[in-house]
Formats: sequence, structure tokens, C-alpha cells
Amino acid sequence: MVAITNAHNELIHDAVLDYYGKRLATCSSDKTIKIFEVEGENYKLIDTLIGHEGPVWRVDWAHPKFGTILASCSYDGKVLIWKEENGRWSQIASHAVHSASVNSIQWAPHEYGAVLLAAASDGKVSVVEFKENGTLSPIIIDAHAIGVNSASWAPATIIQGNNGGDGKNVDELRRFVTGGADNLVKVWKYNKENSTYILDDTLEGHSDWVRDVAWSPSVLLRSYLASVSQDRSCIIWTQEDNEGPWKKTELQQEKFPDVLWRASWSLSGNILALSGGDNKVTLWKENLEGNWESAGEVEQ
Amino acid sequence: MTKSTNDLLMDTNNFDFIDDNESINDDDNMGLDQESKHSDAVDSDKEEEEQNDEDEDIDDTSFEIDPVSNVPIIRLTKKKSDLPLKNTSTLSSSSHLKFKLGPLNSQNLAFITENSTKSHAYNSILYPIQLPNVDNSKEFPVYVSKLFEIYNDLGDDRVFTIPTFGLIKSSSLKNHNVVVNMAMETMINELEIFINTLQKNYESEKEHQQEEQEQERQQYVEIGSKFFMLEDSLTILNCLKTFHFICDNNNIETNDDEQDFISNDEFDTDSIRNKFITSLLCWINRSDGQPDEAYIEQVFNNNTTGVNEHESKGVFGTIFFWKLLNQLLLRGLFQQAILCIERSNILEYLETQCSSSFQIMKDLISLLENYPTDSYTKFREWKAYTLQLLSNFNDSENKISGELRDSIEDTLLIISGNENKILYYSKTWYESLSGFLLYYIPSLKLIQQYLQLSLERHSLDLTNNWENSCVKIIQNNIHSILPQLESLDSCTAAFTAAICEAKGLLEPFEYTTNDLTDENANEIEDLFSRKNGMASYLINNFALELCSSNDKQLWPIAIGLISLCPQQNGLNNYSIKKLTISELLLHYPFETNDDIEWMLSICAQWKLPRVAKSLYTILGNQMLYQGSTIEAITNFSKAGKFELVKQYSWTLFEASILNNAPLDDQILNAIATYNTTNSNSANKIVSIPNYIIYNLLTSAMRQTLAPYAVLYQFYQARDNQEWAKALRLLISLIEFPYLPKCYLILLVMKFLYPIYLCDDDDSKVKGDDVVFDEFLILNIIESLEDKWDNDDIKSKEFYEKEKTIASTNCPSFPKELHEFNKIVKKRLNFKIYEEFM
Repeated sequence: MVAITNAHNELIHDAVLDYYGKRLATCSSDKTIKIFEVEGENYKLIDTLIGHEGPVWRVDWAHPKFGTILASCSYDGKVLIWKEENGRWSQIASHAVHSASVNSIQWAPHEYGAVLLAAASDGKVSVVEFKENGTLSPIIIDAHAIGVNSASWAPATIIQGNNGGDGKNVDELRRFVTGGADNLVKVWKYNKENSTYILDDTLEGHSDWVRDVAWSPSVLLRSYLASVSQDRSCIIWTQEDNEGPWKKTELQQEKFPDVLWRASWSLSGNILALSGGDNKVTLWKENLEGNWESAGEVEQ
Repeated sequence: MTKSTNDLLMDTNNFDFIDDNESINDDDNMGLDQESKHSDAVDSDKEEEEQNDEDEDIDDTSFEIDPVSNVPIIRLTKKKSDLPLKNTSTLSSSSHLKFKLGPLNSQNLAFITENSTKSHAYNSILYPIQLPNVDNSKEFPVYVSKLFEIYNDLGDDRVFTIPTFGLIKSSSLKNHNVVVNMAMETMINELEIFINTLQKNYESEKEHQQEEQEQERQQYVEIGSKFFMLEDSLTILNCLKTFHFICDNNNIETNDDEQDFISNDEFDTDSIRNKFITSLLCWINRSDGQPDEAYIEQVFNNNTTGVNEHESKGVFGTIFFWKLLNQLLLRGLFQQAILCIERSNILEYLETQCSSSFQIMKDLISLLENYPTDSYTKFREWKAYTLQLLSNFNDSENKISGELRDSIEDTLLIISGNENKILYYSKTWYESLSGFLLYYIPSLKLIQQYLQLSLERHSLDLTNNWENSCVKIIQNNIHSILPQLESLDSCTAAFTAAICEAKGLLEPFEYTTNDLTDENANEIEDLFSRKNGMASYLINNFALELCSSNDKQLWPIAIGLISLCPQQNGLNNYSIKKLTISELLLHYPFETNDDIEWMLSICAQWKLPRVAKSLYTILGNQMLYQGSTIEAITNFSKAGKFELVKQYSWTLFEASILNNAPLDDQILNAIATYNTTNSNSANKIVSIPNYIIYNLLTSAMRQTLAPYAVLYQFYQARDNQEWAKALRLLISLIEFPYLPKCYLILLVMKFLYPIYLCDDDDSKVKGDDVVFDEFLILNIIESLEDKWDNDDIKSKEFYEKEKTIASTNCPSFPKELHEFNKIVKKRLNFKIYEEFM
């Protein structure tokens, strides 16, 4: 594969491919976002988005059913929404409810609509819905006192329950997970009655900052959460049938050689990639016996 | 007579195309030049390493494996100069490699971040990474398709049902086994074809390697690595077929009496024996390709290294010759063995030295030529002849002595089934096993004993991928080979597991009462639950892999696999498959209408209306991006996104008013005249077949595009100077209860006022052209009262914009919107007055 050189003038903080892998968005300390078109092994720069006033930490593509839409978050405390129409990119919305750096963003499963989750250093997470009439309706939650480093949605899950009558009703179970500087991982659940998210579970296991959390995107498997930390460990949290206690499994018994920065799942949730301070990316897969085994390494 | 054996030696493992320094060499070459070869190889490796260091390139001719975890290592780049963190001049303790998995196996990204403020060139580099074991060859989809075809054709035989007693059940099991055995055989054939195709490509790539770019060179290396893994898979499959897909349990009559056992063995029909022996020899000989041509040449060229007293006799005087001959015999390579005998000139020697021994050798050749692979009865006769020949040799007064005589005797002992000699002359456990099955007692009932004896003499080579798996297969432990097979090739592993499960070789999950309680029943919903069985796990995993491969033609196979794969429990089967397909389908990289049709057919088949609606919404957005608004509206409509349908329909309406004419969109204008009674003139303008319009036009669109259709007719009436008709159409628009208020301003500004209301000098319509009756005017006034909003932002914007444009034409508009409102009302009052007059 050919490396993409000179993508930005300063550090790159995130690089995300869209739903079909046809476009790549990158963001950087140079305060810009770049959009590349992917054609085989070639990446062609098609636009540079300027709007943030600080380093841009993360970008995320919305589901294609909402159009070609990208969200970005920055040190400037803002979340910007960008849309491409007729080949031109423009900023269509700004979400500025946080008083400190917004460290992570992620679009919700498309079934919920255009809903964005943002985690910030002010200790709050916000869930904002971009309605078709152009209005925003943010929900702000105090999540981790010292700061939230990462947040990740659970896949859209339908739960069944008796509605009191003969038939069964179905309901969405909207959840997300956050990881913070208080060494905790927290699971949040949508409460329809109060129209807000309430704390569903607090998972204790790390002894230092939780750097990243990632909820496995597939509903085909039981619920899987991966949390990576400054304490050089990765914990896989599993839950059966979307309820009950979370089971904690250390990915490997011994500590990793260095801090773990990022965790990401493959599309089908069967491969987990971890990147660490030892400049090694390790790939992991769960075998039929339920043990996690290494599936490869990316090194330079 | 002395034809070269090379001509007849088959390329048993198809390794001929690999360079010697790339091929897997057998470590046991009986001491012949091995050491010197090894040291040469080491020297050559060292030189290569040095050369590579100089070139600053990482050696990519081998597959890198991490020595600790034994997993494949993927490098960011092949050029050392491009490695930022290894380059000491740019190395920083705060530099970190980060990684993000993408939606496709072939598209993942790595990049360097750093905490310090120092800026390095490498900070702005992105490294696209492909996951290991991803097959991007163009032959792979063909191979997968073929295997899927086999799997699909199995039909009901994909499921193994435990037979109960009864004649019908017994015959049904036999038929089932025939079908499954055939599936395995066909699968192996397809794997061989796949390997052969890769081999051809490898050769052609190799020819052009020097001129190739880095990317193509990488592909060449990948084909090479893949080839070795597939060869190992093939060896495992050949072994599996030999021991589990030829002789079925239903053919075996249990009888402990050895005599009956021999005569009424599992090889009860000649064709089965023939198949078994052929398959056995194919497995053994293709597995390692020994003895290879180079080795044979070494044996024949090193005839001076023999025992001194035989030096003058030629190659047959060396121990290496007899070891080679016996090895060929143990592997069932009869023709090659005969050619070796002939090439050695032993016959000429014995003819002059010892006539009885000469005759024995002639008889030996004759026996080898007639080894009965096809008939067990003939085998018993053949074995009797070998014993007779051995006896004759021992009894004869031959004139040869010493090692030559012993060597001939050993060969005769091997073919007459002597256990010790078979074990002594075989170099590996599988050669011993083959020797036992060819010459001792060809029975699968004794296979465990044969295996044990063979392994006691020759230990397993755990460094290769297939030996351990083959032992497990012979020990009937099929489960344990699947992880190994999966690490070699997930496609082959998945289909192998499926066929093994169909054959009943994989033990099903055993439910306990606890597993079936209400609490645990839901666990079955998990696609990858251990309760679904190993085959289901591998098949579904492989299906997901195919969906991440960005190859459209593999998608139907993936969906097919998920649909067809039987789950052992049978509970909740449909819902979990439906859920899986609904989750995956939207990721299908559709491009053409056929692709979309296929997706919709899957939605219909699996009753996935939500997925279909999401698909229509995606299509709608894509159409908008391409500027095909009508198609976009159609798709939004099908998706049930009626707000968007309304929004874009009004956008078209607005654009047309601003344009002061119908939009230049043939489809839209055809829709505007579709099903109108007086549409002849319109159809002459736009020649869009009615069925296209019918397909595009949804019920919602009929309603939302109705205002545009009326506007279109208004333009036609206006252009034809049918002023009364035009006014009627315009008023119907103004009165339309759902007309957004901003468009009322536009309609009045652009049409009502300039055409019908302004002073007679400026108006296009003269008093006689059209009659404003009182009722009509009052309706217009009522609409203005209801909808006219002087404070509406969009209305103001339109007014400002149109006022500027209109300033160059007549009539002139007042500065403010509310003033214009007054003027319009005044003119309408005037019209009422005129009417009274």
C-alpha cells in the first residue's frame, strides 16, 4: 500500500473512512479537516475544511442515508457539522455547548436519526440531535468529573417486553459508554420518560486514565466493550442479553509494554485493534472457546 | 531401457516453479551435500541481508512472523527510509503510532502522533494498511463461488441426521454419504484448480518481476505466501478425504475375526479400494514432494560414495540407491521405482553375474508393474506372489553376496509387508503408514495401530502446518484441525467444516437442562454461539469476512452462506439470520440498478422494510448529489421520508417560478403532464415513455408535485395567450391551502400582478381578454388575507430579490413588501369596481 504523504501541515489526530470506504476524512493540529477520495490504492485530496480554531481531534462520518455529512470536534470546544452538496463542502451546523476541548465524537446508529455524541474535557458528554428542520436539541450530562476522554455508542438494539396485553411491544435500547480521567468506564442508557440519559453501570477496573472506549458495532454478538488505559491494560467487558452484570476480562494477563491509546473494532465486531505507546498495533480475535488471541501486528 | 527417471517423476507437490532458495527443503537428504548446501544457503542469506541493508529496503520475500506470539507482522511500508520511528534522526520519545480499523479489510489506516510541539515530516503521513490473510487475487472470488456452489448443491444433505435402525434409514444414510463424499472430492478439485491458477500467475509475475513496481512486487510475494498455505490446506484435505470420505462406516461390517476382517474389509468393493489407494498416494506424495528430482540425480551421480567392494558395479552398489528405491515403493510410486531399477543397470549386472537373482529382479519388476490398486482379491494373490518371490530368493543359490543381496532381500521384505523393514526404510511416519496400508494389511481398522507404530519410529514434524492436523484426522479428532485450517485459509476451512458437519464428523453441542432454561435460551440468538457448532461459526465468520472485502460479487455468496448455514439447535434460526442480513446489507457497495434490485430482492425475501427504507434514503441522497432531483424525490418517497419529498417538490416549484418558465427537466415536465386529459401537446414536447413515469411517480409525489403540474399548465396557457385559463390555474395555486406563504408573494409578484392587475398600460392582458368576476376576486383577497405575511423572512427575501430583477422591466414595485400588499389589494378592489361597472 502506498503511504499518503503531506496530508497535513501538522500532526494528524484522526483518519476515518466513510461507510463504503470511498472517502477518507483526516484532521490535524493545523486546525483543518481534509477529505480524500479513495480510488483503489490512490487517495485524491478533494477538499480542505476550515472552521475550527484549535487542533481538530476527531472526525466521524454520518450514515449515508443522511447525505454526505461529517462531524468534527476540536480543542476549541466546538463540534462542527459539514455537508457536501453538489460537490461543495460547507459547514451546516455548529454545536458549542462545551466549555473545554471536545475530545471525541461519534454518530449514533442510523436508526436513531442524525444524533451525535460528544465527550469533552469539561467532564460532560452531550447528545445532540440534528433534526430535519435544522434545529438542534442537545442533552448534556455530567459524566466524569475530571474530564471525558472518549465515548462510543452501542449498536441499535431492539428489546422485547410484554406490554401488559397479549402482544409484545418492542423498544429501542439506546446506550453508550464513556471513559474518563477518573479511571472509570460508565454505561449510559436513554430514559424515555425524562428524555435524558441515565447512568446504567459504572465499570471499575482501570488504575489510571481510561484513554479510549469502543463498543463493538455488531449486534450479532453479545455486548462487547473494549476499554484501554494509561495503566497499560485493555479490558473487554461483556454482557449477556443486554442486561445483568458486565463481565470483566483482561485482554491479556500481563500488562502491555506501554500506554494503550486507541481501541477500534472491525465492521463485524470480530477484530479488535489496539494501538499503544510502544508503537505497535495489535489485532485481536476471540476464538470459539471465548479466549482472546492475537491475530496480527502492525509495525513500522 | 535406461530412460531417465526424471521424465516420469511427477511434480508431486507442484513446487517446481518455486526457486530452490524459496522452496521448503526436506531436511533429511541422507547426508548428501546437505551441510555444504546449508552453509551456501547461510552465506547467500547473509549476502542478501547485507544487500538489503544497503538498499534500505525491508526484505519482503518472506512472510514475517512474530517469534513470540507467532502472528503475522504487517509493516507500514517496505522502505526503511519511510519508517519514521525507526529513523533515529527523527525518533522522538513522544511519537506514537495510532491505528484505525476501516469498514473494509483492505482499508485501515495508521498514522503517527506526537505530544511534543516539534513538527516532523512523518507527522503528516498516513499509512493505509491491509489486514493479514486478505486474498485480493482475481481468482479468489471464482474459487469461493465454486465452493459455494458445491455447498448450495448439497441441499438437505447439509444436515447430518443421526440414523436410526431400518432399511430405509440405512439406504438414506448411504445416499447421504455418497452426496457428501462427492462434495468433498469436488471441493478438493476446486482447490487444486485454484492452486494451479495461482501457480501460473506466480510464474508470469516472476518473469516480469525485475521490471515491476513495488506494488506488483508485493502482489507477487503475496501469491507465493498464499500458495504455500493453500498447498498445506490441500494436504490436510487430501488426508481428510482419504480417511473419512471414501470408506464409510456404513460399509463396515463389524467382525473381530481377522480372517473375515481381511476378506470382508471396508474395501468391500473394488472401486472403493481403488479410490482409497489413489487418494492415499495422492495425499502422501503431494504433501512434501519427496523424493525430488534433485535428490534422485544426486543419488545417481554419487555412485562412488558406496561401499568399496561394489564401487565398480555402479549406483546399485550404494546404500543411497536402495534407500531411494524403497522410499519410492513405500510411497507407491511404482513406475518411478521400476525406472530407477532400470536406470541403475542392475539388471545388466545380474544377468552376467547371477541368473537367479536376475530372474528375481525381473519378477520384482513384473510384480511392481501389476500392483493391484483396484481389487482386494487380486491384492491377496499379489501378496502371495511377493511372499513366494521372497522365499524363492532366500532359497536360491545366488552368486551375489553381502550388501547387494541384503538390499534386494530388504526390498522384497518391504513389498511382502514386513513391519520392521517398512519402519526401517521409511523416513517419515506417513511413509510408514503408507507402507503398512500398501503391503501389510490394507485395513482402516488397524489404522490406529499403524499410526502408533509409525509415530513411535518417526516423530511428528511440528514445524510444518499439516502433519499434526493429518494425525488428528486419522485419530478421528476432526474438531481440532479446523483452527489450523482456518489459519491457512478461512474459505477452505469454512467449507471443510460445513462438509465435515454434513458427514457427521463434528460432534454437536450437547445441551444440558441448564442450557434450555428460559434464561439461557436467548443465548441462541448469538450468531457465533458455541451452541451453533463449529461449522456455523466458521461459515458465518467467513461470510462476514466476504462482506468486508469490497468485492460485489462475493456479497450474494455471503448472504447465501448466512441463509443456508444450518444451526444445530434450530431454534430462533430465522430471526438471527434476518438480523445478520439486515445489519450487513446496507454495506453492500452497490453501483448499478441491478445491484439495487438485488438488495431490494433480499429485503423482500427476508421481510426487511426498515432496511429497504434506509436504502431508498441513501439512494435519494445519492441522486440529489448527482443532481437528479426527481429520482431523489422518488426514493425519499419510497423511504417514507415525506418531509423530504415535500421539501424537494416545493424546491422545484420555487425554482420554476424564479425561472419564470418550466424547469429544463424532461422527466419532471413529463410527470407534470402525466395523466392529464389534455396532455397531447405536452407529450409531444417530452418523449418519456409512460412506464418510466409510472415507475418514478409515487402516490406521495402525485400530491407534492401537483402544484408544479398546475404551474406548468399555467405556463402553457400563458404562452398560448389563453389568459382566462391561465388566470384560473394561477388562482387555484394561490388558493391552494398548503402553499407556503413565501410562494404566495412570488406568484403574485411574478404573475398575478404584472399580468392581470397592474395598470392597463403595463398589463399584458387587456380588459376584453379576461373577466374577473366578483367571486374570483374575493377568493384571491381571502387567500391574501390568510397567507400574506409581511414579516416572513423568506417572503421578504424573495420580494427584495424579485424587486431588483423586476426594476428593469415593468411594472415597478414599491420599496417595502407591505406597500406592495396594499397596491395589490387596491388593484383587486379596482377590479371589483370594474366588475360592478
